[in-house]
Amino acid sequence: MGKEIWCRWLRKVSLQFFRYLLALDTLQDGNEFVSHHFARGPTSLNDFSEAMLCDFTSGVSVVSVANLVNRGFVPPPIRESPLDPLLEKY
Amino acid sequence: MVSDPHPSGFPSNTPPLGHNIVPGSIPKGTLLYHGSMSRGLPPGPEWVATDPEHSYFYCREWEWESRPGPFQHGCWLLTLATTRPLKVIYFDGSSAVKLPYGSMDIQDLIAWGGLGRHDINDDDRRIQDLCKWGKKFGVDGFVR
Repeated sequence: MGKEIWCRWLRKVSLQFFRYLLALDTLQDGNEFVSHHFARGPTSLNDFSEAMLCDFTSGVSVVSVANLVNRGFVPPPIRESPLDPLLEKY
Repeated sequence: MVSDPHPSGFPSNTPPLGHNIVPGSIPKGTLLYHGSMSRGLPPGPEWVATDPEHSYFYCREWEWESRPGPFQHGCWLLTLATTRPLKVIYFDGSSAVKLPYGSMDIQDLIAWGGLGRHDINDDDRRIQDLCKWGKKFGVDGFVR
């Protein structure tokens, strides 16, 4: 029992310290933070997921163009987020 | 920036109202995805997603048919690759979410110099004005 409590405490302290180090590193180098996230590959709701580019004639090239309708893709209907009713409360 | 590296795995959802403006870069060779009803490259500022699933949604036919540029009906998915590191500004929190509770405050502060007097759905004007602001600093885009 005593060992379990000790392990739990150690884990908590380690996590807090890890968070502190990450925050410190990020404050010192935001560029590294953003680049790291992109380097990690496809993102999800957990991270940022969109970028706004100002000029598509510079800095990007087209890899492929696919017509999704021709491939049987049907755009999903617009629907309310399941979170909307919850957000209305605030 | 303190709230972002959250070990829970939900950094931007846990604190949705971001307050940080972070300079960053998108590395060369990064794949970006753009869903559109047009097969051509956008003629002006536009959005790209970092995962294809996100961009599918935007291939639908919006009420944007009056937009300039090549137009063809369809649901087009453009896969793009960066050819050089892109200089970007990152807005933390759930800064792409259209909520009237402050999730877009930092962007609006930069784009329009104030808060609360603008339509949260006016993303067209937001992106135009953000790019206009960023031009003098050599900013290629914004991440949110």
